[in-house]
Amino acid sequence: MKADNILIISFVSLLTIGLIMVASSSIYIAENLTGDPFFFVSKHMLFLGIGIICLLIFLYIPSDFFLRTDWLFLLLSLTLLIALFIPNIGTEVNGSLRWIDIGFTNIQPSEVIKFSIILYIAGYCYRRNHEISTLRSFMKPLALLTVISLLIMSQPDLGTSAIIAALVIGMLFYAGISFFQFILLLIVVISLGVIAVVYTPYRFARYLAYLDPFHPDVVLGSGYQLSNSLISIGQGGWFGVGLGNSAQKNFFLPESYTDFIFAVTVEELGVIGGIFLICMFLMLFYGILRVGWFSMKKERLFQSYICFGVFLLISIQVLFHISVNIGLIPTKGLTLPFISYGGTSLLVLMSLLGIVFRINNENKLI
Amino acid sequence: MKKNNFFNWRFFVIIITIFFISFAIVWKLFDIQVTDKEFLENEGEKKYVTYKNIKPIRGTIYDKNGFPLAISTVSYDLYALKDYSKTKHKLLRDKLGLEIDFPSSGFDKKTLIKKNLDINQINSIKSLKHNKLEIERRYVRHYPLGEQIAPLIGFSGKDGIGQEGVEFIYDNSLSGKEGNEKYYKNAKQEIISKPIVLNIPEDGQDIYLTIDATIQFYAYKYLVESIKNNNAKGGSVVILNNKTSEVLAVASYPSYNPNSANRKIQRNRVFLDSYEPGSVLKPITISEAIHQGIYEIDTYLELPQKILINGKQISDIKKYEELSIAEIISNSSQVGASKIALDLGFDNIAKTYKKFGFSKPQSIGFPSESFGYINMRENISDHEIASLGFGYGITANPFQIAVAYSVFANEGMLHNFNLIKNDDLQFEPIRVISSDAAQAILNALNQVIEDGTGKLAKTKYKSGGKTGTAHKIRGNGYAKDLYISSFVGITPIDEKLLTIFVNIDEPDLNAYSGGDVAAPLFSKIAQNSLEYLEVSNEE
Repeated sequence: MKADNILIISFVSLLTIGLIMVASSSIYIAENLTGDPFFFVSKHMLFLGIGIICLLIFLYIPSDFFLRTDWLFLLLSLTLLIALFIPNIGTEVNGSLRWIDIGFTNIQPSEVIKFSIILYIAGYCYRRNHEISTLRSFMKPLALLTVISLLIMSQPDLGTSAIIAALVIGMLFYAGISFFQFILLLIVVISLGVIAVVYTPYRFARYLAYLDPFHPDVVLGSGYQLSNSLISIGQGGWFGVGLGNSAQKNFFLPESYTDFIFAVTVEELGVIGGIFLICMFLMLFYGILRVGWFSMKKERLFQSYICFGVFLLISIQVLFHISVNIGLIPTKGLTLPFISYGGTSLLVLMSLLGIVFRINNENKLI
Repeated sequence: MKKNNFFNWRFFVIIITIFFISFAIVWKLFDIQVTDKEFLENEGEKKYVTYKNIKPIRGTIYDKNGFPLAISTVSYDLYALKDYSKTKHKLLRDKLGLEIDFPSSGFDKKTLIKKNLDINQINSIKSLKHNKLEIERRYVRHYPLGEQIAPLIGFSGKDGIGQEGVEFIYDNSLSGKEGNEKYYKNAKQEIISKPIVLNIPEDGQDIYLTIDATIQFYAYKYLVESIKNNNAKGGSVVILNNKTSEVLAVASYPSYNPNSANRKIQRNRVFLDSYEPGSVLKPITISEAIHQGIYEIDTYLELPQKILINGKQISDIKKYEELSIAEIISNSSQVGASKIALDLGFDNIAKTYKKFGFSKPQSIGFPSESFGYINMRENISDHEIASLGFGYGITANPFQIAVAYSVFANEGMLHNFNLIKNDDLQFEPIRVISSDAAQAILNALNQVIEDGTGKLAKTKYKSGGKTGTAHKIRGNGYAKDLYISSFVGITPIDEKLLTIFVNIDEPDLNAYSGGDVAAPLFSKIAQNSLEYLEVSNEE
């Protein structure tokens, strides 16, 4: 099968499943919050539309353009991240500063930075390809990562920080940083993560809840999300209770249309449905990596790194989201790419896919 | 210099890591389904499934003609759920005239706000389409005859379980079988699904009693009247149909209103009060003496006014010189009854009483029935034997006495009297005395009314009966001033249709004898019942 088809089939399948699952999982919550049961799915459709426009735009931008402008995107994203902390710009929800209200919708700077950091790290690795394993070349992206992580952690949003850290480290590792430095970095990051968990009471409580989410002490508190998520998956069984029939989305499972959409998907469509979803992601990964591989063959290192970055971002987030949903790791609110409701995330992902399609097209012409 | 190979070892490290995690995810997904599914499903059910029992309709208790004595009707109550809004409440209050004011803090739990909605109210509540209002079905038990028959029927409590009387005896078949249904609810505890019926309830079975509501009405009405007139404590009436072996009426006073939640239960004296009935038992032992041929009904006995047995005196109110056996009955002679008892002997007397159904439970199975005893002391004295002859040293409840008298009406056969119409448990009648003996006693009983102690029992119909005035027990002995006055009779004497027993507990001392107090009550009840039954009087 041609890379195009593999990409298009998996990509369109994922977007379709996402649309259906957002509609299904948000229906009661939307009705309760706004009176319109289709409030979230309508907005999701709107973002899909805008996302397609973004995709088309990036399809027309030569990929080399980003080699010159990656710093600009980064600067813009960083500005947005910093702007969050300016009073009256950032919107605080549940004690977290994550959104900037731009009138008709909110944008989430920590999603935007994912886009820029892929371009920037890809460009950086390409530019420093011959000296990537030196300490000096290694320090610069590390300093950048530290700044970004600190900014995101201050929102606070440990999950996104972790993803971005994993993304940057993964890309650098792939591009060829020294193994010793990599291990060192890994130890530092993991230690910081452990410290962040142990010294923040609510995160530590979540960690304890992860060990036994049904323990009477936590089942209505820090274990509430995970226990309900597991109930969803247990209810679903192999074949699911049927689309639209989830009982858990009746306010039992919080964030059913964002952070726990995989659980609702398994409840309604079963393990079979969940595995089909995972297969669609694997197909997408294969498609993206194939584009990267062809780029490499055509000596287009920058483009190859971009593809690898996109693959890494999506795969990390997918694995992270599903692992949280099934209780493999402690609860951390993270959306499932292409599936969960979330405008900024969808636009960023579709834009990145747009770039991958563009690279694929360019590969054919060279 | 770095070689630009896409599939370098670093790539594989990353890919293998990702595959490893993916594998862990799939493994965990399977593990959840295999290991934890049951537990998780349970946890889920606990959260969003509620089960509700569906109450079956309790069976109706009818009288023999299909008049309801206990009937369940559906009633609808309105409940406000948590977070029920004030504006809706105002709307509702205007529509229904609700008494309840809206609590300032709102409703924090399901609260009953209006009982017994009518159909218009139900419709207007439904038209509000407010999901914080719930209408619940409830069954209410009604007893149309109220206190007239309460001690017999009993009642079923709030939980629908029969507590007393017939409601208790036949609770199993009346109550039916509960069904259940389930609902799904959301995390706000709102019910979000239509009920899913899991088990259809089985409605209780209806019961037809042999009771005739009209006769019961007369029995109770005149019983109360008589008790009031005599300033008595209580009393009871039993009416049997000798031909069909049906119990037509069981009245007991004091009674209670079974329809009221504040009911004060009163015992059913017909089954629960066994007492020493006195002279009403005289014909029983005498009938056995005739049956055995010890005497003819017209055998004359010489009787002193007083006799001394074991140093205790037994006396009649006057000296009769001599009385026939029939006259001993009609004048209720203590001395005569004593002589006959002593002639009959203790073994015979005890056997006779047992044959007539005394000192054993009756087949109706009334809860905690008190079925009396016979003084069976070893080395029983002659005085005690004589006492058994005139109804002391033996206790019996009114129902037993009535059934025993029906033997005279049924040509010496003891029938089994039913409370349930068409009861499958038909017993073969048992011969107790010869039909001649029974007829002879009937004639004597007729004399009681014609010119004996029971003149006031007279009706338009020719009847036969026997009076009884028994001392109540107080402390270790008999109370001189406390009586239970009884009358038991068979009417009309030719058709032998009804056996009617009446007694009055502690009548006023102005007139306390069975002849003065109980006989007139028998008369009124007999007269009215027979007229109601359209029995002709060819007198």
